[in-house]
Amino acid sequence: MNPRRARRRRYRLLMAVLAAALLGALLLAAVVGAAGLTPAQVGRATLGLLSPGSVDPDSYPSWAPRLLRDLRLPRIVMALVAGIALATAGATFQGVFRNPLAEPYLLGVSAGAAVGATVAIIWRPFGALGIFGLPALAFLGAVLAATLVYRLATFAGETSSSSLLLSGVAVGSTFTAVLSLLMVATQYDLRTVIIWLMGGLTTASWTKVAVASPLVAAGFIIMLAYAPRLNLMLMGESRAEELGVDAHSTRRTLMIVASLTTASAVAFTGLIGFVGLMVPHMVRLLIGPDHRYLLPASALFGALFLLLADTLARTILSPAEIPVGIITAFVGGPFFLYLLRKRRGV
Amino acid sequence: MPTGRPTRLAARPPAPQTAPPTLEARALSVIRAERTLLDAVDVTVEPGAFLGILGPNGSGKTTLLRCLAGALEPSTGDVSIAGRPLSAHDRAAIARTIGVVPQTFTLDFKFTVEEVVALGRFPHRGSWGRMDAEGDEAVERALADLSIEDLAHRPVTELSGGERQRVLIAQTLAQETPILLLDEPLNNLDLNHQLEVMQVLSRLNAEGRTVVVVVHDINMAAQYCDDLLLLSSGRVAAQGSPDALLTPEVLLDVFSTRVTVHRQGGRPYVTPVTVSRRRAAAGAAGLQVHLITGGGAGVDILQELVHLGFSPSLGVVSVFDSDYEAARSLGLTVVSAPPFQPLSPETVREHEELVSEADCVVLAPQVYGDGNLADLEVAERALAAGADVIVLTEPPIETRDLTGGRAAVLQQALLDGGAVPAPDASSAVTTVCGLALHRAEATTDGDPCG
Repeated sequence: MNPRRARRRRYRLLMAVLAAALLGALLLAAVVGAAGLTPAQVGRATLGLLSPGSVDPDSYPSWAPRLLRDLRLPRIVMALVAGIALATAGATFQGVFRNPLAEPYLLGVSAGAAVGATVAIIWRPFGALGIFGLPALAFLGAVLAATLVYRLATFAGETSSSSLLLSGVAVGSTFTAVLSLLMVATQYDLRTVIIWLMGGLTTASWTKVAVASPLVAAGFIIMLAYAPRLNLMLMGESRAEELGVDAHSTRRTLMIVASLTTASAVAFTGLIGFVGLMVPHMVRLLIGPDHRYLLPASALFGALFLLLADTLARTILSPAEIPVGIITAFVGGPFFLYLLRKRRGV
Repeated sequence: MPTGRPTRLAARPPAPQTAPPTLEARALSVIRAERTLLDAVDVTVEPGAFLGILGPNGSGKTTLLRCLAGALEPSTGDVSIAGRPLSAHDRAAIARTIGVVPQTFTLDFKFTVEEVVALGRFPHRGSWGRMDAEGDEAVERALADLSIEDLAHRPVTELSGGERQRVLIAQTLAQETPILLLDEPLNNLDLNHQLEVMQVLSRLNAEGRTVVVVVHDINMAAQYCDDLLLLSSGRVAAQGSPDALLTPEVLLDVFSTRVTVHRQGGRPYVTPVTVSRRRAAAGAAGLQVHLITGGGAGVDILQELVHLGFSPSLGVVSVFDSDYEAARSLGLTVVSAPPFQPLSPETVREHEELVSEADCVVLAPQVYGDGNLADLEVAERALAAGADVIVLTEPPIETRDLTGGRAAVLQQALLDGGAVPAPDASSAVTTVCGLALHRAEATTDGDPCG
């Protein structure tokens, strides 16, 4: 049964390549930037951070360690976490909806999360929750949006692409309208919110990383545990039940979990689209649709993809920055159209 | 998966260690959107049964199967396995006991055939879906049973409808359940694969598994199933062995279709007449029919046969009979005799010659007197010579026997000798059509235009 082994081998190879590429991207992301540090300075500053006294403090600018520690590194880690969250949420939504066009952004789930997060930002009572109020409300918004889209787009367990996309657009626009209304009505600093909405990692911090990572990790572990069931769900809920899957609870759990990881990303990085669309699709082309392998590979690929996109976003117009959501949309938009044209057998 | 296994099919699955549980439906009713899909259906599927569910479209076959599988909640009544209601078992436990092959299955993701079949192992796997050697073997056997080993590594999205159907059946076989429920598993399949599927089911049944199958093809059901359940408008119309059930009367009642029933390989074989008549016409030329009649007794049969394209010969008719007129007007070969006289030996010999050329002799319900008693003897000799003889038995022979019982004795001898009784002209013609169809099928064998 060599072809099956070949697939597993390809999976391991892909994981190795992704891990190596991720390492390279990490180094690249740490080194490049508007500050104009050289790789050598970055290296020495990092060593200086890790074990003070091991390198000559004059061999790099004195602000370099703080720049790395407080700006660059949290931003890099946030990109990884958000990439993992969005890519795995995309793969999971696609499985639950049995449709490769499902994606947190296109489904309007991200917009739902954004409304929740905005409420948390501008509505004072939630200040008491501190930084946890943000993902908590974003999660509620995301679950609400996902449920709405599912209800609107699915008839008797079947979701057609057109009804899925239309429902996603409708739910997304409605939430975006609520968002605009909130911003205008409360006269919140529009520019900040708009930049955040366009998707950006500029405000990343260790605190945000500390809140988002465990949520994304927990979500990912649950998705992985449900991977075999999700494979069966691809044949339709009634077939999955015939083979022993409790389809309703599986669907509910996975929608909640995918909404959770989406919300964790959106709450701190705004609306970054198309990661969840492109990454699982490319991984499926390489190793097939089995979620037990698709999810881990998508996580790595998503992390790599968003890190590279963000590195590009902060260097392409240096010293100015563009929101990373613009980069992903630039790549993802045409990709989406391409998928829409050749919809079949993914 | 171990490679280089010496014989692919070395290991047959062990027969299930425990006998399959009894599957039982009590007073099952399903009402959806004010339509009654099932109406107080009682079914008991004994361990090791091979039950075929038949019925017209919309009679509730699929609904019943889905209820038995626990996939559909009945409005009233309940389904139980081993005496416990299905609802008391969890999904995975049911999936280890009952395997279901639904009518359709869609999968737009590029799994390979082998991966899809392996999904059938889900209820037996560890929580993260690791396969053990036993699972690998079950998958391999299922692929072999459906002859789809060659497709094992093809993406399921690239298969034809028939291939997908076989993948679906293989997936359910890999599930290795003591009970199998199949909803029209032969859909989309070529004849050879239909037979293959039925034979696999037959073998699994022989190994002790319970098989319940919804089939469209009555003859396929008759050939393979030990028990049949006929559904009609959501009710059980009849249940029993194929022999007891597949009679023209029952099938007319349930399917509103006239059929003839032959026996083939010890099992009933049903030929629907409304379908076959037109095709029988094509074979009509090949089947020489002789109609023994007189006194106008065979006019109906004659006209019907001619209408269907047969050119029957007739004898012995009196020149005054309406039979004679009809035959002459149709340009048929007729042995005639002067009226009101016993048949002359010459006439009888001439008649006998004509009869000897016929493949099929139909005996119209004529009134027998001394004059035409020889007709029965001619028919008897034709039967002995190997022709198919069809005897119209209504009105009863006693009412048209003017020979003091001799005609009745002769007719009984005919029937005892293998002549086919037919109550009326229509069923006699139906039987003739069945014979013509058989002949047409036999002679067009291998003819692509057949």
